Amino acid sequence: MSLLSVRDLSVKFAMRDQTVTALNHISFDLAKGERLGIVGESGAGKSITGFALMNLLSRPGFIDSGSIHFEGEDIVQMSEAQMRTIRGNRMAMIFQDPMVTLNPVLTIGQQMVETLQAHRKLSKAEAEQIAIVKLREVYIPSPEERLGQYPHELSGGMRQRIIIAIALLLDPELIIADEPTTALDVTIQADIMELLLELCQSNKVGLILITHDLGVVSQMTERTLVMYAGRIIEAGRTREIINDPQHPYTQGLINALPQQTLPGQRLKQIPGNMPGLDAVPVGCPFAPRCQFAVDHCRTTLPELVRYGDVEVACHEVNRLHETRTEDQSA
Amino acid sequence: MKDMASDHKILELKNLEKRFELDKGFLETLKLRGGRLVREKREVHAVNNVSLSMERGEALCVVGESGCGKSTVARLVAGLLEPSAGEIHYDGERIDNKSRHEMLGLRKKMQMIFQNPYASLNPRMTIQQALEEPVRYHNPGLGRSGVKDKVEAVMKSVGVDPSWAARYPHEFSGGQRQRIAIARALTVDPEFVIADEPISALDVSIQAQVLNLMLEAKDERGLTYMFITHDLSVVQHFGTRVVVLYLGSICELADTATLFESPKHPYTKALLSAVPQLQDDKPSHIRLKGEIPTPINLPTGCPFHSRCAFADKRCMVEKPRPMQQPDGSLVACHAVEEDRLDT
Ligand SMILES: Nc1ncnc2c1ncn2[C@@H]1O[C@H](COP(=O)(O)OP(=O)(O)OP(=O)(O)O)[C@@H](O)[C@H]1O
Ligand SMILES: Nc1ncnc2c1ncn2[C@@H]1O[C@H](COP(=O)(O)OP(=O)(O)OP(=O)(O)O)[C@@H](O)[C@H]1O
Ligand code: SF4
Ligand SMILES: [Mg+2]
Ligand SMILES: [Mg+2]
Repeated sequence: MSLLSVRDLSVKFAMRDQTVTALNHISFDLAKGERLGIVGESGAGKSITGFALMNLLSRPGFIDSGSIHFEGEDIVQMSEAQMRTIRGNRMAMIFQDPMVTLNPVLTIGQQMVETLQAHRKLSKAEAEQIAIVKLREVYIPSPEERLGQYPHELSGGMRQRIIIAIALLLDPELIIADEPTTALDVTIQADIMELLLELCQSNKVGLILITHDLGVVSQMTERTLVMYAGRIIEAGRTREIINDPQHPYTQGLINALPQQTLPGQRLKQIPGNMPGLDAVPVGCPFAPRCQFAVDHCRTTLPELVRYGDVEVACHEVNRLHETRTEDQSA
Repeated sequence: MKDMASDHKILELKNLEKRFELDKGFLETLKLRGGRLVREKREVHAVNNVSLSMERGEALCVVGESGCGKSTVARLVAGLLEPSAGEIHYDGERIDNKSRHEMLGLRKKMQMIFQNPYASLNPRMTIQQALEEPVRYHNPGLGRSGVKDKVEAVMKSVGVDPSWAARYPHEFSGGQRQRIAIARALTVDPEFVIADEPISALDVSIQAQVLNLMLEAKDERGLTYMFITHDLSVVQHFGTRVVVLYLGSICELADTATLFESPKHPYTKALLSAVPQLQDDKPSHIRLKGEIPTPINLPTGCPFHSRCAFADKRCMVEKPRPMQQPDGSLVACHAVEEDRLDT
């Protein structure tokens, strides 16, 4: 059985004059201990996916349809009380903004003890011992002293490691990490990623890593979902997707990286911008920006279908693949 | 163009220093030390003895971790901050001691683009108004229709539909907004642009749009850039030279190709190894030991010694000076000087 099984999940936002769709029938699975990346441009629906999995959407957002089975139980159907036994306990999220997790007026120790005591019967001293062990696991020097410090007294890198320690506090089976290192330097980012990877591997923790850094996805994950305007448009093994992307959008994302062009040359930008939620075109949502679009693309939505080892939502995938192979052999 | 000026470096920083005082009030600075009341001022040493010069038409990238003084250098050069010591020369003329009024003429030649596309445009001004303002200011003789034409041309040049001129910044995407901010800086035909992380907050696809725009301006108008970023793949693409800062001091300064082919300073090496590559299966970076020191209590000796695997006694007491290497790069490291780094 998968750890997580998402089927036909749709999320909508009830705006003043209309209801817009932020997630459109997305489905995917995550095995125990598997590491999955979610990539896509800003506004694609990556964070909303994370919030939906944690059942954290609030007005005007709501889950419109679909199911999220976590170890066989459907989170969508759960009461808030049931959800509270899972959230932060068996399933934890590292938020894009670290200050969402850390309360500025409580010490690190108070926050960690509080979290532990909410889910387990522990004395303060016992909880502190666990907190110290977890802080040590994320390489926080002199953890005993850190317990008495407030979030603002710590450097950005240390704060981020403490957030990871808090996420790990109750030995969750799944961690959802939303851009956990975007605010940090490359040297610190590299340390934190290595740490997350070690922890996931040694404890068989499932990881959903949301990021727009394809290099990070490449290092950290086994499978990747590429999202565009609230849909999954390509899914498969990370290596496969990075080395031989099938969807024109995925190709565009990879080709736009500076590494893909000789220094000083014009970068290969994807023309146009992702549409807003209230202006998603009929047909393939990527069609207006796609250089390969044909009439059919502008009228009919492509389904996500298996193509070789990956899944792709593109009418023209076959033709494009063949032209690429011909180009290469020519 | 002034041909006479071309034998001057466009920019020269000489022993530039910037310290920020942390404690503002007199009482806060009083401390009891060994039974005696002493006045102790705590300062952030944001920029320490930085010297470098820039040629016309080059794109100098400034890299280094958060808080190493990149923005402070940019703001010193742009005249938004006053140096605590040292000199800044622009086109052969000393500018750091000029009054705001005297700097006005320079404003047209030198433009700054800020880190945050949300902060660089006034939310209450339409795009038309935002673009008109600098055009009018720098072309006082230009009539109404002349201004309008110029604004239209600028919007087209950055790929924004001129019919959108009446819209407000929040109606644009981050990438569009940053392109407009860059367009705004370019409207006045500057010769020198200081860009502080202009693309860090943007998606790769939008980064590509913005970088292309900046490259075009460089090729077409021979612009000189001081470009601050922490993205090394962008540096490799955009920069002609790179300066690596650590705690406000220069560790290494080299041509981009040289730096990426043979980084010499231990910090530069760690930095380059930490960049996640597309083909990597797992992280394989040089792990730095120790905690990051703060610019409040600057370490003695080499600013990097607390995290450096090659630090010895000398590194702890004597600050290394930037030394010219055979391939032309400048490196401030005792171990490099003593040739005890295995490469
Ligand atoms: N509270 C809200 N009300 C209305 N729309 C919202 C709300 N929150 C998010 N959205 C919209 O939902 C879409 C998806 O947002 P989401 O935060 O998931 O994007 P993302 O992929 O995480 O982007 P980023 O990379 O910028 O974090 C966006 O178009 C966003 O504008
Ligand atoms: N106005 C100020 N008052 C006090 N300290 C300041 C001030 N401005 C900057 N600093 C300090 O000076 C140091 C250098 O800051 P600076 O903003 O130049 O760093 P940076 O390299 O641009 O970092 P980032 O990558 O995070 O933008 C930091 O320690 C910062 O806290
Ligand atoms: S001078 Fe010493 S401490 Fe500094 S980088 Fe070189 S070897 Fe390391
Ligand atoms: Mg997000
Ligand atoms: Mg800065």
